[in-house]
Amino acid sequence: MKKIGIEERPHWRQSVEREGFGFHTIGGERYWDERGYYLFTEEQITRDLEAPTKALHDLCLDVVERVVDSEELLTGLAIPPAFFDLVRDSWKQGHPHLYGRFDLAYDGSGPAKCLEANYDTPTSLLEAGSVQLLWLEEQIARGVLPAQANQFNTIAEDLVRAFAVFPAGGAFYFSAMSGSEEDRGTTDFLRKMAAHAGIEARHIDIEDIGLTAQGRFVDLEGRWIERLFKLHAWEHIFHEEFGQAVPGCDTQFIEPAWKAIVSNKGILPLLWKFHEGHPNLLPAYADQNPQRPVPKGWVRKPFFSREGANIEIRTGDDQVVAEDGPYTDAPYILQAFSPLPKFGDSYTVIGSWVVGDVAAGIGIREDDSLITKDSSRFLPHVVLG
Amino acid sequence: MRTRSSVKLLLAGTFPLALSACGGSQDTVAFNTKSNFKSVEECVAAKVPVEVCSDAFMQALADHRRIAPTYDDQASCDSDFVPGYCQITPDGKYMPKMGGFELAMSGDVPRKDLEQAQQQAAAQSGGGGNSGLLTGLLLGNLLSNSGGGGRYYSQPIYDSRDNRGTYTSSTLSRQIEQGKSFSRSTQARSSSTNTYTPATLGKSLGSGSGSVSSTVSRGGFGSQATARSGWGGKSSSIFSSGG
Repeated sequence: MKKIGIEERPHWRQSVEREGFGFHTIGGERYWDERGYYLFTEEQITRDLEAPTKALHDLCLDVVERVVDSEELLTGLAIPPAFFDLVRDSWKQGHPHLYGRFDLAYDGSGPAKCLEANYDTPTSLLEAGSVQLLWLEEQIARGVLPAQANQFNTIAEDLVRAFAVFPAGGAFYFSAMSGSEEDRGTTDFLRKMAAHAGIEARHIDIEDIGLTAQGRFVDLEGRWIERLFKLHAWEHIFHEEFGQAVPGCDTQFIEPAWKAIVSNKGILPLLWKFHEGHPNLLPAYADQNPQRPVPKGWVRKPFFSREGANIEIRTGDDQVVAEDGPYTDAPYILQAFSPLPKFGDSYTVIGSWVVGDVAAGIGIREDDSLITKDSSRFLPHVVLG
Repeated sequence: MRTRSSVKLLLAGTFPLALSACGGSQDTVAFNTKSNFKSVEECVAAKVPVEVCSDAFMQALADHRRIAPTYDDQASCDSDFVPGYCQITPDGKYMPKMGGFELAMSGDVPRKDLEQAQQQAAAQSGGGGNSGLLTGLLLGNLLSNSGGGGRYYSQPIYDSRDNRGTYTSSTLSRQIEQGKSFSRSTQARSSSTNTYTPATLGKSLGSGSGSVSSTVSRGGFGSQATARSGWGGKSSSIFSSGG
């Protein structure tokens, strides 16, 4: 695993915008950064990333299986009792799921360590599944990269396959919060993949979803929303007005409610508890006393944080790195600190995607700090040799 | 050798505006769009049929009377909107003026008509992408083509300053999404949470006017994520509720 500088494609902004990637620059700073790429060997991908991703996915499903029948564990994950049956039934009835992303610390050798599982509302799917792949094809076509350059990237293909095996049904709605271009990048990409599978895929803003007096979710024209992909965390839905209507409604939610168990950082102590010592896991425990300082060599994370918010790291040599944020109202976990590798001035994290039950590819983000935030940069990767 | 996804999956089909694939042979596309107009005149100038403009205005005005926050004093009212914006009501309260209306439409449009309308809108606005004009052209198309099943909705909009100090006009629900609680309004003070919530709004908007079914409430999803947006440094203007 190396970081290598490369010339940018001329006019790349126009070409990525044409493919629906309008947020390549955020607040005047590069988010998509093709001045460099990460190079992996085939062995690094197969042995250290692809196989562990599949293994981690299986571990997560194993933990879900253990949690759904335990009111104690469901409570420990901050899932409200009114939703226990919803979560349990969605699992027992085998409600289909679509995708997830593990964030891994990996520097090219040794086992990749799972920092977290984003299994409910992962984003950056367009960047990983489309933008970096088109970059590769174009750089090969221009002769800048060799013809045998490759990527670990079957995300698009695996999504189409996953949609194709969904039970047949009416229109499929894809929802995201209005105003978030990044979220819309992910949902519009999903719609495109669903359309390839012959599904009538429509967009609706989350705030525009209607609820009839009879308890049915409908679109702006009052049409039944039979299937709903929601880029909106279950932990939010549980506490919103319409949340109460979900258990009794006739809409199929994707991700299904059982993903609430895996999206929550409370899964990390449970993974460790049931699979202690697994080479891709880090020791993690529920934080019984979040008021005390973080011990040296540990990281404190709130259950429901996104984009690095409210995370606090104390390194082995007593450096503290903390990110402020709004997630102060839920339990915390402590996880053993596993430093992100540093390439030049950047700390690098690997997002490893699962689509259906398949390890489908990776996307790479860099940040100037040890905590990867939504101000990070996305870089493409190449597999060669 | 490892395979990767085919580029055909990525390049095939694009989504100009908010189009969805309508499955195979049908040559129509589902279309939805929203535009703000300050007045009926501005709406008509954008080629929206005059009867639609005046109906949309009247609907928004009726909703305005039901949903606009009211205040005991002018300063409280102005501070939620812009200075000098609030008016006294016959019963001695203060409420914001209606700053115009948002016209939203959705329906199925023949693909060729959509393309034609897009070209016309681009040509007339010098390529600047005037969505108001596009809305107008497509509305005309939908209403003259009875098979289209197009619908339109309107809501009042209000002038305010967003949290970066920029003046904008937007619907109350949009302003709530962006973090406003109208906490000094009569409606907020009579609620348990001291905020004017989307639920309050949904219930009020749901009654009456013919454009929105009286049995549907909206805005019950999204409030939790909205409450957490605005963090994340550089990208606070493009928040992501995902991870």
